Amino acid sequence: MTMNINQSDINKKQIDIINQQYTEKIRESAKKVLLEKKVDVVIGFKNGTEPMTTEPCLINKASDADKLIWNEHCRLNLANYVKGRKDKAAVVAKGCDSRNLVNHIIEHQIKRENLYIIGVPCNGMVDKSLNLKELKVEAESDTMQENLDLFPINRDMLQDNCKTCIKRNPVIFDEMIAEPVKEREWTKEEKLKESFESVNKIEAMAESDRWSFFNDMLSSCTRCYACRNACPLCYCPTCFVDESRPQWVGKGTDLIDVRTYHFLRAFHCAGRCTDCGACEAACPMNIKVRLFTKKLDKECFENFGWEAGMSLDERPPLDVYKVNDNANFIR
Amino acid sequence: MKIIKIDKKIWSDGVEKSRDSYRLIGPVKDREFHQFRELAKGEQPDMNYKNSRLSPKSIAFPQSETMFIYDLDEKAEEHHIMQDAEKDYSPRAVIGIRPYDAKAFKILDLNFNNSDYQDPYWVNAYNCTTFISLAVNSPDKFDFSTSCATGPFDDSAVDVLLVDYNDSYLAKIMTDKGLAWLNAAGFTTKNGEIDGAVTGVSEAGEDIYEIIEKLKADAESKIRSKISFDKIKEKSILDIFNAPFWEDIAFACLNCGTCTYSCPTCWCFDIQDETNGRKGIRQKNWDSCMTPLFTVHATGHNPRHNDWERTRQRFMHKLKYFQDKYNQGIMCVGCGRCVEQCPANIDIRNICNQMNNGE
Ligand code: SF4
Ligand code: SF4
Ligand code: SF4
Ligand code: SF4
Ligand code: SF4
Repeated sequence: MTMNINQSDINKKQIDIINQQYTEKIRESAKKVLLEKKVDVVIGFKNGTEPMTTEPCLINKASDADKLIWNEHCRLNLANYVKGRKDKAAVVAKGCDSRNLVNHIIEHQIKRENLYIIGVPCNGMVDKSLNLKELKVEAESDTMQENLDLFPINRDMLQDNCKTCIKRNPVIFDEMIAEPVKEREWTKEEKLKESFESVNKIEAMAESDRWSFFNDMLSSCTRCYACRNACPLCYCPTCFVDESRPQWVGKGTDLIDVRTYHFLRAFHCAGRCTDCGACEAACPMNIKVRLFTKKLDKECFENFGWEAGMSLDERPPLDVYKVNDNANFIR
Repeated sequence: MKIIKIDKKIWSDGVEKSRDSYRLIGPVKDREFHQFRELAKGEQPDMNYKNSRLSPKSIAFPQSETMFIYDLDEKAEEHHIMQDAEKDYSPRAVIGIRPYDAKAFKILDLNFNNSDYQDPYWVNAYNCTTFISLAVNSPDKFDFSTSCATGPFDDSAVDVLLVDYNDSYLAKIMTDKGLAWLNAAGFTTKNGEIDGAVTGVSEAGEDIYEIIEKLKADAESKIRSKISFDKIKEKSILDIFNAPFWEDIAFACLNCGTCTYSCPTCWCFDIQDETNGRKGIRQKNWDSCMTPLFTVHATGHNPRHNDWERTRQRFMHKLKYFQDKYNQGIMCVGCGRCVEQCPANIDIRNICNQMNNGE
């Protein structure tokens, strides 16, 4: 089974075939590892209750493995669902999920030997707001599905982070459910220009414009914390915003507190964020929260050539001392 | 009950005219989504909106509301004494609210205004508001309001129910409060008197009651999702509380505040003091049972320590405890916001049916 797919010519029909093959393979693997008692549970996705939705699920019997599915709506990051687990878990992991598993291992949140990684070569996830528009169709009609048949899964349909994904195949895995997909090959310069385009745009703004840009961007944030809770990196037992003794951040709707939350959280993710996009996919207000972490991703890439979660053998830049560091103060 | 027909051509002028005696609130698109907020002069409610992302409960129960202000500067007059925050409870009208979102106010009222407790902020804000509701002709996929003792044409919690009909709004006048707003907008023919010609049969000879009934039946028939909760009431609390399905239901849940914040019937709040220098305020903020801070004790002990216990709380409260305590159905109007917005696809419709039919 060779599936070497060029992103631009994947259409809905092809995607359906791929989804079906992936789904079958995932179910097969799940059954096998459960029956062979290699793991206690399998963590994957099942179908949601509405078209174009999925729900993370936990399977602990081989007979339930047929609930598992794969499609272009598996936006959440399943590494988020293994943190702190003490049992042996198999995880269905696309490229970014696997990078966050690497993070977890490096940060001692989970042991490699307790993980069985079912690797999924990823073709990208469809932007969820595309759903929103589509789902606005009246309850009685099912035109949404029909429309979808006409859509090719082209770059425009992908969520922002998938458009510039640097690792679509899992970094670490115990088995791959299909041949790897083609990775984009690009130079450091290309990456800095294209992958960080959104950040570059903001950097080019005048200071006051930048300030109003962020204020406007955050004006609808309710601090529901879905972005934080969807993020595998955010595993602190008590987040600084929830600390009550002392209370660091106000609980009202004051923009000062909203900004404090976002800026501080982004800094906590520096050198760790894999740009998986789960935070953005989770936000009910469609706020582009990834912009903040992306800026720090850029700093790490530019200054240390660092991209998070790519290797088990290297410590993240904020966790390491190197004699050839760029900055004088640290040498 | 009387019905008048308002030509859409005179609608916006009338709305604007009503400003002489009302502050106006309505759905407007801010950034990506609609929300209910006070309309600036000349700003019209968007009567073509589909749904507001957050529910309109915020007009009487804002996410953050200042109750008191104080000054800790000992040189200031009346320092260290809580002063009432300034409030404006002059008459206001909320235009375009969905019938079941208006119904949600009745549910919130059980909590904020009962014989034991009256929350003055809620009571005053609710009382000064006239509900000019807009029936939903085309319910969306997430709507299950007809299962929740309300629906897209429910007129039981509104002062006026507007029905969008071709070039006009048919306005069912449910209360005197509603009539007063229609008068202020100049939509009634003579001041306070309703032209008999449009009540019942219009000039064109249409039977208006029949038209509304037909639109209502059409709208209701578009709602495909149904829930039942009749058996939940008979089951014992502990049986459902200890049911085996909770951990499974809650597995995907991120325990964020999305469902509770968007919900028109979630009423939990928290009281906080905020100081800036020597000046301070005491505020009432939305809270959410999904968060650990909601139940953590001063000792540090948290009786709802596990994520899944918090997920269980939300559904037990809405579908079981509320039924048992008030005997007025469930604490949900079926607006579908939590279903649509949950990042993990936790669907209250499924959970309700599971609680109802499951072991
Ligand atoms: S998920 Fe969105 S609304 Fe919620 S806290 Fe994050 S940015 Fe704000
Ligand atoms: S901050 Fe967002 S993009 Fe980065 S790892 Fe967390 S969820 Fe993924
Ligand atoms: S049910 Fe959904 S919206 Fe509610 S807390 Fe869980 S993940 Fe968030
Ligand atoms: S529980 Fe969900 S569907 Fe019910 S009223 Fe609240 S948000 Fe709407
Ligand atoms: S469901 Fe939770 S947040 Fe909503 S009212 Fe009940 S306890 Fe409060």
